[in-house]
Amino acid sequence: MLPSYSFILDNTHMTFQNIILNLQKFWSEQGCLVLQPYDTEKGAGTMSGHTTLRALGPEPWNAAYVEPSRRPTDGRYGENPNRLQHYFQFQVLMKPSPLNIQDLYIQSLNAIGISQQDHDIRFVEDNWESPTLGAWGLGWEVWLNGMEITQFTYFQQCGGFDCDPIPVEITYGLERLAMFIQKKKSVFDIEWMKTKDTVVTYKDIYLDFEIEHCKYNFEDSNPEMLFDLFNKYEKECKQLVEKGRVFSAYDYCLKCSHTFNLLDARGSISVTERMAYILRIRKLAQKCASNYIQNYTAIGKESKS
Amino acid sequence: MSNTYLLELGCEEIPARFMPGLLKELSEKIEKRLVSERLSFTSIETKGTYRRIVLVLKGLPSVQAAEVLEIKGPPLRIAKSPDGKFLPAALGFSKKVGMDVNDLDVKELNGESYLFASKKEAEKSVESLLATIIPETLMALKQPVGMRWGRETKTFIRPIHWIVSLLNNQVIPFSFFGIESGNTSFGHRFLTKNATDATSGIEFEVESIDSFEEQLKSRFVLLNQDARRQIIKDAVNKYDGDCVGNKALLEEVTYLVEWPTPMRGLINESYLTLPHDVVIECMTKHQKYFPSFKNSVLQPSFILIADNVTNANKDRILEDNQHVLTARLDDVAFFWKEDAKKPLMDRVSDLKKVLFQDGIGSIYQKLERHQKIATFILEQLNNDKVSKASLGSKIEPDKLTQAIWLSKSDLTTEMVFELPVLQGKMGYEYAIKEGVSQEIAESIEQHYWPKFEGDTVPDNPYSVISAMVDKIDTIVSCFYNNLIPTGSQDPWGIRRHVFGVYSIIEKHKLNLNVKDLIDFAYGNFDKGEVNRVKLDAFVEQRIKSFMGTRNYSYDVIDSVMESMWTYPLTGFSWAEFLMDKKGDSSLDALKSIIETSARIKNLSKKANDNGAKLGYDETLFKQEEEKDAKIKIDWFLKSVDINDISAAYDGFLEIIPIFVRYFEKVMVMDEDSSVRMNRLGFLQSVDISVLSRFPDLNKLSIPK
Repeated sequence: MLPSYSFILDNTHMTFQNIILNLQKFWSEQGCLVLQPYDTEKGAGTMSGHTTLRALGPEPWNAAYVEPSRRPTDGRYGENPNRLQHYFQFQVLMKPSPLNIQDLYIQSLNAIGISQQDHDIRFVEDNWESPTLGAWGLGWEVWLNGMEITQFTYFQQCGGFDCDPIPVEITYGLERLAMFIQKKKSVFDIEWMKTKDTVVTYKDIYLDFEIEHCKYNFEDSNPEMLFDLFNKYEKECKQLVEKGRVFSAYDYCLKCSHTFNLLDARGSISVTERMAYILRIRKLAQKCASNYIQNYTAIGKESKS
Repeated sequence: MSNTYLLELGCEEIPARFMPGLLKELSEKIEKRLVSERLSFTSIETKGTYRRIVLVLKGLPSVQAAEVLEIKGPPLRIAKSPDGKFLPAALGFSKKVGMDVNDLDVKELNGESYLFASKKEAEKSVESLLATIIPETLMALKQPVGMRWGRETKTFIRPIHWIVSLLNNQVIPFSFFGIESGNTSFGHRFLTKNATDATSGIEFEVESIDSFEEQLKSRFVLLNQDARRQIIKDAVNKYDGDCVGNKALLEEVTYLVEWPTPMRGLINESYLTLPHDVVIECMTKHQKYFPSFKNSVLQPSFILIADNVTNANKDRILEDNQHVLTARLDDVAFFWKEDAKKPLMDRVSDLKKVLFQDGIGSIYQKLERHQKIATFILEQLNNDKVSKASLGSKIEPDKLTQAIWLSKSDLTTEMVFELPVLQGKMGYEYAIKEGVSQEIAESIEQHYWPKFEGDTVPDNPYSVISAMVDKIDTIVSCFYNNLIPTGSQDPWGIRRHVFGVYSIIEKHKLNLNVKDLIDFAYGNFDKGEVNRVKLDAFVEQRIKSFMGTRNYSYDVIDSVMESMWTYPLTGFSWAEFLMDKKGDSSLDALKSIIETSARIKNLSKKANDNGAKLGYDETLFKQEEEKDAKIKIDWFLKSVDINDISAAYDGFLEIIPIFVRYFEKVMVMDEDSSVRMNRLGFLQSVDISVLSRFPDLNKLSIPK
């Protein structure tokens, strides 16, 4: 039976999909582009080109999107109520960071039924760094009655380049938020959709998916093939970078990163190799970033003219 | 007239850990600047919360203090003609200083008269000075992690939203990061409500500097950090919490709240079956809660300091916080159960994948080195009766091997991955759980000890050796790998490790040769003794400061330095002994030893520059004094226990009169080179066999 659409923007029924819809609506009203997920596996919403590449250069950029994120090592075969190897982030990037961004963020919580009058909301220092992306920023994790629900970061560098102007990134942990709003103890009990007579839970959609992928990540994957793929992806990325291709090259950089994560989960990367692999990926990311700046930002255009 | 100035800088959440330092630095920098601008004051106060930095200056004058600059001009003889006319030199000078030539003074300096300009500096008003001093001082604050935002090109600790800048009731205008100063402030972010937005709190005009804190208080901001700290402390004490063991947490929480509202939360008693350190870590590290105790036993409750509590939301806030902590405890309970499925010994090979240092390899490789150093130490101790008595004879090599290989085995547990600060502690817990013997289990935890200066030294023999090898290996690895501590930078805690080595030797009376240990540890690497000179200089510096903490004087430390390297135990004993002797009312005995040994040493050096043994033939001794000296030295070597310091000292004292006569009667530097070399050879042998076992007494400073 089809759900009744009257529920979609009703704050009293904050299903997983309504949380997403409300966040999209809210940020859309703040002038953000509401974009769609990027179709390559990645470890976090930050790694989408919508953030990593657009954070560079002087051009203003305001965007919001859901991003499926994969962290193979975090998988627990669906047995842990809080850990998944595949989950969703809601990502907002605004460049330059508006001075009222904290206020907008709190208003966005209102939009999903979390009022600042009802809760103890705190901004607790947490600085962010991604060694593979050559990116770092300063900011907070946001606490809601003691629970971390959001990562709030003013990017200072990305792909090894100083950001100017500074973008601000807001990353909502959607499962955490939904568990909080719906008062669930397990991520698998989250109500994805609810109608008068049907409830579809996170478990219904993702438990089997989760277990199978854990088996793949930890047991079934073929490290030999993955090592081979890593080298091929890296080579492809490099040859594309040579030609000054940004977006195609960046796809292969993301593939390298995900392949590395799979190898890591399989326990196939030794200590001495680990750092070397991270540096190889960072090099690719830096080249993509510098190509992007050259090809597609005012800085590049200036230097050419 | 006396003036008061108020600055309030409104920011986005400033990291709590920086606040105390920031307030202190602001106060110091402002004081310095006021002095250099000749502005007097009666007090400087800084206060703050996560959202505001406040400065109050009292007793400011209206204008800066007058200053007369005296500028020396040309000598009068070339500046003025005998008939009293000013010459070009004088006119040039008056032009330079911008004063009428007739207003210049004449002053005498070293018998010569000079033209002088006494120039009164312009007296700037306090208003105009503050308008520059304040923003410049704020800009000069150190920023451990400064950030940019928006289109700003300069960095500050966090984005700025408002500035109150008042002298008495008048705004001192300046602009800082694009924000104009004024007299408008804001109340608590969420406990008061602004008409236009969700997070700024209510906007209000500052009525007066005196009433500012009260105005804030009525808007749910307790500005004074001491007052906030007191509220937290009182609540923690009331609920049997522990502030003493959580000083850093108390300081952090003080700056995480503007309106501290303590609440007592409960957890299910069943979580107390988890190791208590784990429960405490979950409370303090992640959630910033204070644990509570009764008779030193952890209770199933905690104290939460919330910041946005009203009657309407207090139940929900408490309930959610309890829920969050419970979820964390469920997580660690899961780890506690899962980790135990894989015994610690089975985890050792996983350490091949855990990095110790980039460039040096894995923890597993480090343990291989530990094993070698431990065997070497055991040999040293077994060959020494002092150490054997205190430790060595109790050590079984098999158990030592077990202690070494288990020492880092908890690093691959989920629990330590999640709560790294519990490394070692968890190893102990898991070892006990799986039935490892108490002393080996303890050694997993204690091999990290002492963790800081003055911390507990490990006590059982396996802990002691495991702790020694870990420290020696880390010290040598870091230098070998170019991770050399500099100034304030010591990320690997090498300073602490050297202190640890000496604390352990001192406490357990281990007769270990530190130099040999370091030689040996270097031998574990294949590129030779990289940075050995730097390591030696560093350790020597640390020995000095270690001995300093034991209140030995510098000259005593210098004189025993050689033994502190080779046999620290002897070094400690000698240092003790010499401090004692130096305190004697009569220093004659000590002085005579110093003089005589200095003479022997000087001549010994002449025997051979490179220290090679020259040797001597006693049948060539011509004088009675030579034979007497030889007999006395033989007696000393045969009958005196050199390790018994006071016996050695007394024995040496007996030798002195013989050598005093020797040097009176015997011409060492005889013209006949064979006689000369024979005598030097004898003195060199005295130096090598006797004096080298003593501290370098020449380094002692003795009142003449």
